[in-house]
Amino acid sequence: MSSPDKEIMKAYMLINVALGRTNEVLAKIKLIPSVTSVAVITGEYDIIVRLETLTMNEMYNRTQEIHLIDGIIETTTSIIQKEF
Amino acid sequence: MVDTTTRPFRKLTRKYTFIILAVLSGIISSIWVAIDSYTSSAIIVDSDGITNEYVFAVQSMVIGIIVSILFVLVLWIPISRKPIYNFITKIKSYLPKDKTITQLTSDITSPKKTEKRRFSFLGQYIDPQYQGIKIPTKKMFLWISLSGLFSGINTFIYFILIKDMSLAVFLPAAQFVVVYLIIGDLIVDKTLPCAVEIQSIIMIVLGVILAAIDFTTGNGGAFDWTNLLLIFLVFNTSSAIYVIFQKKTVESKDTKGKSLDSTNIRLWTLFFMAIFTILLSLPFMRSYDWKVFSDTFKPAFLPIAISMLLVYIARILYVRALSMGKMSIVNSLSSVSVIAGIPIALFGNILFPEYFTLPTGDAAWVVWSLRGIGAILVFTGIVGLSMSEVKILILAKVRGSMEWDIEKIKSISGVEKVSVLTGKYDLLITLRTRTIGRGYQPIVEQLEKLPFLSDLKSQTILKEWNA
Repeated sequence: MSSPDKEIMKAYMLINVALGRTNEVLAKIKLIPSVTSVAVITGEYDIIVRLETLTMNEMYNRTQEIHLIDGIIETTTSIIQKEF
Repeated sequence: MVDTTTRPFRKLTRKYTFIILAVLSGIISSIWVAIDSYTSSAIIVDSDGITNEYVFAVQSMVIGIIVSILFVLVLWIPISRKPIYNFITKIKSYLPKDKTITQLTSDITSPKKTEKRRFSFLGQYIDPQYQGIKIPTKKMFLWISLSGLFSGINTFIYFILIKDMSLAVFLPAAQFVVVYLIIGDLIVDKTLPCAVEIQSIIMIVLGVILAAIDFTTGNGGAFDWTNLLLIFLVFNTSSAIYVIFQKKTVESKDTKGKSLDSTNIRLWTLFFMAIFTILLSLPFMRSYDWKVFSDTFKPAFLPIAISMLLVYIARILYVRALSMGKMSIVNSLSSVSVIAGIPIALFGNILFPEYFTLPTGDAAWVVWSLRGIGAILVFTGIVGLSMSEVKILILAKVRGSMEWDIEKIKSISGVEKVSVLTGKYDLLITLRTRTIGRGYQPIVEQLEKLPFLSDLKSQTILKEWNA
């Protein structure tokens, strides 16, 4: 029997960056696999990243990679439960 | 360590794929209009050499349906073992256990581990979502049949127009649909046009007027008012309504939450379009017209088949682009056909000078300059609109002990996507507007008034990169 299609895990990561280090952080985020979009935004956060992975473990690894980037002050990760 | 081999930011990003799809759709459109223009004046003519537009309409629809079904079947050819394996497995699940069938499936090993091919069907090179012919759901059928109705009206008028109208005039005038779409958006939003919209509308209107001027022909520069009224009042209006229903079809989802692929949308739209075009043409067909129909069917088959095939490919690319971005932008980019129409008309004149007539005489250069300026005005006016889009992200919390309705959020004009999140905020609402000021109405007047939302935080995207 064929296995059912695996659902992709999606998440948004809201990031606060140290002053003057946005470009440097952006360049490093763009190199991380599973990052499907990255945007510089105004307001409470500085950068929003969208991640898409096949497993929760992979999601954990990718968020860890982002945490390790120099210049990032704080991150808030939100898993997408459903999209309309 | 980051694996850079699986780096997601491909050379061809979603944004560029979107632009290429829409532009390609526009260029192919101008080629098919040129082929139709030739077929109309050279082949589908009666004994007096006069074009029979109703015969052309019926013939195009009949040949179009034949060619499109064949094309879709060709696109359905499996290019990997995965669909064959899935098909046999499915058959096996319906039948009692039988040795021959067991043998058959054991011969074909599961392709999951052995194959690394990206696509399963030939058609996926054009439309990656294509999985063969699918029956739309009831709701999709409603939108597709309405699309087909207005596309049928549009096509019927198209065949009347290309009988007399020059390619270089028809293509810019057909772009007027963008103006109607903007006006439609303004009425729905109950708002006044912003500076960019006013500027673009003026550029498009002036561009169309300039492109339509030709004082080198026999009519002494007078406008053909009947054709101009047909193109502005009927052709572009039906075109605008068709675009709205196509967008509705693209957004419709089945019970599994999947939307119909572009190839199937086109196939079913064409089916309804053909019915309505033929129904509109039949009252004008007399017995003599049927004779012209049978006499010209054979010689017209090849050019009509090529034209309909190009229409099909252009429409698939168009619908794919429509699923990736706003309809006004898709139309903006595909308006490149306005400019492409000029070299195609020149090329057509070199090959068939008697059917692709160009301005003649000492003042021909003035007419060409006016057409060139007109085409550039229409194109830049339309592109100007697409460049002025703003994306706003709204983070929101949902109040406890209260029912909440995603559809109420989705129905707000400009809302593109609603993501339900875990963590600090419950929702991320993605909104697209022409200017930041345009975000005022959906955010302040509509979203903030929804009783189940609280703590709304708006953030404008300054720059975005997509994989």
